[in-house]
This record gives sequence, C-alpha cells and structure tokens, in this order.
Amino acid sequence: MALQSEPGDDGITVVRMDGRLDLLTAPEVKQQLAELIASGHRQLIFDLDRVSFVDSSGLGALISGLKAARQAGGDLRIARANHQVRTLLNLTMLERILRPYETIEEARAGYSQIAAD
Amino acid sequence: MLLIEAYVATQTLNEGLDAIHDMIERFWKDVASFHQLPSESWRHLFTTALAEVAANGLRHAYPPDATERPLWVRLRLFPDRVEALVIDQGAPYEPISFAPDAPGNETDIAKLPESGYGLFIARSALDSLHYRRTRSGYNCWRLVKKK
Repeated sequence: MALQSEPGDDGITVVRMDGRLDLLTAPEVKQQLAELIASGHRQLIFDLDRVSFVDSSGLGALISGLKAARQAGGDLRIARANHQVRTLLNLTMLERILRPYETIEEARAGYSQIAAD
Repeated sequence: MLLIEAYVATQTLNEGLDAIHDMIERFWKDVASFHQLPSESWRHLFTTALAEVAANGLRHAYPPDATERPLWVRLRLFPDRVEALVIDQGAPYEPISFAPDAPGNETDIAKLPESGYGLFIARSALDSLHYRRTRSGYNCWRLVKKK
C-alpha cells in the first residue's frame, strides 16, 4: 500500500505516503484515492511531509484525486509540500487549484470554514 | 570549459528512476565541493526536468511489456550552465505528445488533464530542450539550463 489513511472524527481523512510520488507510485496512489473517496472519505488532506519528490505522473494522481473528491462534493488538499513540490506547482500554475497549505491544521481549518459557511 | 561530469546507465524502470535521483543528488554534492551551488529553486527545476525526460524515455520509448529499458544519462557542469544528455534505444519520439499549455491555465477542474505534463514541465524548467533521433537508432535529448 502506497498510502496510509487516517480518518478523523471531523470527517476529514489525512493521507500520507513516503518517498517519491512519481511514475512508479502514481497509479497506485490514484487508485487508493479513488477507493477512499468512493467509500465516503470525501474530505481529504494529503500530507506531503514525507514525500521527497513529485513528477508529472504524481501531479496527475493528485489532480485525479481532486477531481474525484470534488465530484463527490468534497475536496482534496495538500499540506506540508517541500520546496521541489512547490516549485513544480508554481511552474505548472497548478498552485491556484492545488493550494499548498503550510500545515495540516491550516488545511483542516479551511474545511471547517466551508462547514461553517 | 567542462568542470564536472557524471554518467549513469540503467536497464529497468524501477532501477532507472532510483539511479537518476541518486546520480543528481551526488552531482550537486560534487558541485558544492568545488563551486558555488545554483539556488535551491534552480536545482529543483533542473532535477524535475531531468526526471521528466528520463521518465519519458523509460516509459514511452519501450513497449509496455519490455523488461529491459536501457537509458543513459550524462550530466555536465560548465561555468555558465548545466547540461544533461538522455539517451534511450527505444522507438522514435512522436512530437505530437508535446503539451501546448500550462495545465493550471484550465479553470474548469473537471476538464483538467491528468497526464501529458511531462515535456511541458521540462521545457518550462529549462533554457533549452532538444530532441534528435540518431541514424543508428537512438533517441537523444539535450537539456540545458543556464546559471
């Protein structure tokens, strides 16, 4: 299993992985995100703290997860992305769509805001 | 004037990506021992571009069931730039797969493509990216990033 998931009492599930999110790991991550969302975990935070490198396939897996979560009425947020991942998001202009949150708490706070609205 | 040079040759997808990441990490360490390192952002852009071009060769040049996927990478530091040469022995590259635009320009998330960003990323991160097919049947990619 590439991803570890940790469902919280607030309905938000934090997912984590170690190593590179790239050509080799992206297909499994994409599938696991789809399965999580299909089983009702629609509000996801992808903790990238232990992800060392993301390539275009990795971005594809994140976008796929984001689309599936939005379609199910939820969202996928990313938190604790390293410098390389931020550089990549900036280069592809995807940071507007996949905003990198500094901390898990910040990503979580955004969700409570939606619930409060 | 060539300052530092590094090579790696790989055979499989798994080993290939690991070897390339190890190589570039060692390369920056070598550079740091003798010269001033380019900024962290600069290095991330170059590494990301190299990983994309190498992944492209490893994945697309060879048939899906190929067990052997030979790939060679040469890195060179010059006073004004870093160059990489990425060579595979697979099928000629089809230029049609060049992604035309930044993926983030798409505002409708449902329409956002989930693949095809690789060469867009490499081209945007570098000063130049050239492809050539040699007469002896190799795909050669030359990556240049100026310091």
